[in-house]
Amino acid sequence: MSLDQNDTFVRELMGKSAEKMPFDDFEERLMQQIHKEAKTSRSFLKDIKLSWFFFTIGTIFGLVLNTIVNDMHKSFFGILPQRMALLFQSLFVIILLFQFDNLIGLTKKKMN
Amino acid sequence: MDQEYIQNVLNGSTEDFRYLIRKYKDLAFSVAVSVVKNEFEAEEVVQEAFIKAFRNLSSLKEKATFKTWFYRILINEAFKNLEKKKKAIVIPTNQDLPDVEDIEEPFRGLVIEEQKFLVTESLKKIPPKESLSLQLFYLDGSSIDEITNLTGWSESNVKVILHRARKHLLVVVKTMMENELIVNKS
Repeated sequence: MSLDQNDTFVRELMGKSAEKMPFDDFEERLMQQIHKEAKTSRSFLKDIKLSWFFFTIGTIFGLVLNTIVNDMHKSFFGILPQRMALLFQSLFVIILLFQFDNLIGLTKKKMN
Repeated sequence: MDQEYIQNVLNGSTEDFRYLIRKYKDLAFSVAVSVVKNEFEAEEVVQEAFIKAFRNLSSLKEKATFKTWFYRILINEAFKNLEKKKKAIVIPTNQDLPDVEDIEEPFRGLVIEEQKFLVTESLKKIPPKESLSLQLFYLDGSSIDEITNLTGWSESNVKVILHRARKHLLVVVKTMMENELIVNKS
């Protein structure tokens, strides 16, 4: 059999091979999963938005508290006011950076 | 046309994804079966490919058509499934494949249902890459360039695989027809 004949006959053979999805409920089952995916994705987005909102509130609250602590002149449990302010500011920065990093990671994940 | 539905899905109309499923599920199933050689696993592969396509729909660039992009996901998913199930399909190489003569007439003598069965079963007996290349080239009408783009194989590799696939299919069809004749005679 020549190459051309070969090609023509293989084309004829392949014409008989077209398969159709044999599972009638495939479309319905898949759409159910797709709807579930969409719902999860939407609630994930909502959670991220809420997280950013509370992060902003927390940051503002932290800044206000920082200012208050800075203005205090009394010592607490024997800790000097300046030390108290330094301790509070360090804690604030650590928490802020940690939360910011987490949120950026989550948001990037959603974007991708 | 696809673009319109894709845009709707991206705008929140999830139900419009049904159009894409309806349009591509049969071709996708054919491609998946050609690789995994099993209908149930092929269904799993097609399902996973559609879900991945849905999740990443926003990353689809306008230039690329949905079909090409989706096929890439599908083919990738099908080969991943093969690897996961650790299927070893051992089939002789090109050196063991003789030239096949005179099978056109006996094949055309079979009834259509028998022909379809014979070709479908023969495709299951040839290596996944070969049956996939036949599927894409002859059934889907993809060019060599497009197959290269879809599979990531080099152009020369696609040509070699296609050449081997044609020979292989003819050998298997012939063998199956002979076996069938022997069974019928006895």
